[in-house]
Amino acid sequence: MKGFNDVLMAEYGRCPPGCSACEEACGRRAGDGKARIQPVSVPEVNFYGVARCIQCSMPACALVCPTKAITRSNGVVRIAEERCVGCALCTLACPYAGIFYDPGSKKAYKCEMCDQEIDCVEACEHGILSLGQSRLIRQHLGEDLLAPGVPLCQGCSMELSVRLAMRVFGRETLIFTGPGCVAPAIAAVYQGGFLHVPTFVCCMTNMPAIMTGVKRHFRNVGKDVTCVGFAGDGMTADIGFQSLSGAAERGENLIYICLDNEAYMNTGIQRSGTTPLFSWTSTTPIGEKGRGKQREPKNVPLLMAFHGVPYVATATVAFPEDYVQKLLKAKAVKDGMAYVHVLTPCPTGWRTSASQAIELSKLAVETGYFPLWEAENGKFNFTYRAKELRPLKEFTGLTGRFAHLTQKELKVLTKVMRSRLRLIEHLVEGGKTIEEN
Amino acid sequence: MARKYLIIGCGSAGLAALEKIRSLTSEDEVRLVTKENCLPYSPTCLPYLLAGRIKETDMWIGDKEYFQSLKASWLKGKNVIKVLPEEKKVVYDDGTFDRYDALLVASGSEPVKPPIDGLEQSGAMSFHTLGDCYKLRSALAHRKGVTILGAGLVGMELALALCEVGCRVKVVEKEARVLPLYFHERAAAYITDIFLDHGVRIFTNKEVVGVRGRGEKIEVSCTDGDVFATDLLLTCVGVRPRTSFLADSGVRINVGVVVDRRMKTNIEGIYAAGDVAEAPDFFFGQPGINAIIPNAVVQGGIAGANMVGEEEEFKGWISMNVFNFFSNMACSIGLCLAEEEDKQILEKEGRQEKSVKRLVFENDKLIGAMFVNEEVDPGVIHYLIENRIELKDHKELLLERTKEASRWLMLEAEKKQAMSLEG
Repeated sequence: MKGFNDVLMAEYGRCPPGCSACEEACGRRAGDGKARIQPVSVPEVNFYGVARCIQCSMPACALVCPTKAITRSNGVVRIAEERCVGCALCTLACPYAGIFYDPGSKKAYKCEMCDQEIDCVEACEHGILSLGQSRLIRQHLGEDLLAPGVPLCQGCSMELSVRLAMRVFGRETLIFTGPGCVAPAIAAVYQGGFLHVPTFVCCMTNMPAIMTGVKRHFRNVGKDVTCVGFAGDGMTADIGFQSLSGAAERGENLIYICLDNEAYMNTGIQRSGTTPLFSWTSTTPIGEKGRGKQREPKNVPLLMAFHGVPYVATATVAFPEDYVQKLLKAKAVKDGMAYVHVLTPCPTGWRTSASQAIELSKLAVETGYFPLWEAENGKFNFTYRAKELRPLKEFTGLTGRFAHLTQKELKVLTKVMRSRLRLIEHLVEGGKTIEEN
Repeated sequence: MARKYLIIGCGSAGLAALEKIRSLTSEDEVRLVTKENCLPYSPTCLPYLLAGRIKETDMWIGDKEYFQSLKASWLKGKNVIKVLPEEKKVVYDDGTFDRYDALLVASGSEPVKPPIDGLEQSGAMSFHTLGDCYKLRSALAHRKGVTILGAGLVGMELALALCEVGCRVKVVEKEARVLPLYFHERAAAYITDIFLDHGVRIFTNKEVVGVRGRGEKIEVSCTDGDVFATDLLLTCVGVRPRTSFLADSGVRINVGVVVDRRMKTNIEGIYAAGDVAEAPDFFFGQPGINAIIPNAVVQGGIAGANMVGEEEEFKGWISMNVFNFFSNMACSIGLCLAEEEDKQILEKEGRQEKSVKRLVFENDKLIGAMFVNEEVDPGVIHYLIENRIELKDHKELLLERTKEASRWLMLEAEKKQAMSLEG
């Protein structure tokens, strides 16, 4: 079964001499005897291979078509026959011998990837042809539903987090959000909306409750709609936690995505429940007495996992395949809440350059500051493990919010973050279990 | 601050520029103006429209929705009469004007009217726009004997289309052969033969000096003393860049608008692309015009990128075309007419099949190829030329087994490139 963006792969020059099984199969399948895949045999140089359309991402044939009869969608380049004038310019543009002109019908023709079984692949007994499955992220990224140029700070990773999520969730989704950085990106309070799906801005205290009501209403009228909430860390960990906790405990079938930039960035960088130990914020200043935040952050994803909801995961956009995989799992949950906690480095609040959000996301994972894990029906798993941990300083050293750290403070912070990592390791690998007799 | 890009012309180059600009900036304003009064189309498909191969509704390459989705404003029926670079303004014939930050001249070409006595009065038609196509179609309702002046690609494609709709077609060319820019004598002779087999009479070395009468009774006289009558006269003697509105602008015009590799004219902020642009060629970097779609889309894209501040350079144009007629094919790429001593030329001919194969090499690289009725992938040959693939001692092989050998050379080069990317 062919998936989205799959490609026909052919091993280079490994065909047995004289074999034309793929060509024959293709001609039969096409019904007109005209094969779209053709063997290339040059005995003079001992070369036997195949030429075929590779469904280019920016097809030259489509570019030169004078009637735009050639288009590419879902990873396949197709010809709309009624628009084809038979000028054959496409055969002049294609460097790969993937498109041909038929003098009989006066039209161009090419491989448009068979829908289900691929006859040429099946006909190839030598394992030279195969169907290359595109990676998950290519298979499931749909249309971009977020407008370009949303009004977030320069370099904010929240925009990409929402964009990727929406490309996975698709149009059949209702979006909820509340006051915080993410609201203007999605709902654009003053500008009429940046998302191509219905959005609703809730209060900080009640988003999961409102989502519950909407979800249940649609269920009562016989529709199963996907309700997705995007919230910041303040709304999730502090102000809206009771509502979130309640909805999780009731087993509401909602998707809750926390975009954690580790402070109330939108209102001026005040400390939140997830602000890390020793971090500078405008309410935990650095001075004669102040040494940044003096409390350890709440581990919200772990708290959510301990609610016993079917799916909890942590993610960052530095690992997009991992992120997409987790969004897909969240989307598939039908018997309770799915909670995804995304670390979104904030150039403004973390005091970093605007170009570093991805680098920081990556380092957060690789230094063990923000491990990538998931809990599927109570079973904990790491989804990414670096071969060895990098020193935490590589992560903190990039940010102005930790610029004041002394050696001693760094040591304490490292110890705290390591022990949090050990906790997940313990949950993943499992301590010894005691069975009932 | 948002900039404003103005594009004159809605052909392949203009639309390619629009798409490129939009892929690079979402905020800036883009406006396209066209003097035509219909949706954008490519003149390339007009002979096929005439022949009934497609419906008019399937011909448009952009509609309101297309421009809306690209956040571009599109004005039809707007004829630019003047460009004022100092004020960064263009003036239209209705007295209105438009400001711009960067301007793309993609105004295409217009047919050349040969200086022949009485031609104007005879009602001779040219064939370049959709309007011309409609006019010709209605004229064909009661006239079947058509004479085409000029055996260039437009003339020959028109002859083919008219033959397909049942006209009696005569082609008159003043040069010694048909398609003189693309094929040498023997190849042209085969093409002429094949047209003759299908009832199209082609006269070469024949220059028209005078035309008399109008309407359905036109008398054509030639330099050789020959005089013949025809119902309808069509002139297809070539096109020239449409540049009249640039006359006092200070933009340098040779034959076309002269541009550098970034499609920039001599005036800051003004670019040109497509049939109107005189850009460096691939082999020598010499300025010239190459009025074909593949060239227009590439140049349009490069102009668009440079207009928004990216740096993209044009590799240079390669003359090329394919021509399919009466189940025959002819294809010409690069310097296939070269005769110089320092070029190596390999040739093969089949009198029975009316086939020609001519490969031109410089050192160990292919620089030109010509085919008539040969089984070959034109795009793969173009790839070998454009990427300057080293052929070593495989030239004879390429001549003997062109289709297979060219595919192998292409696959080999692609593999080499993929491996170098993997490091």
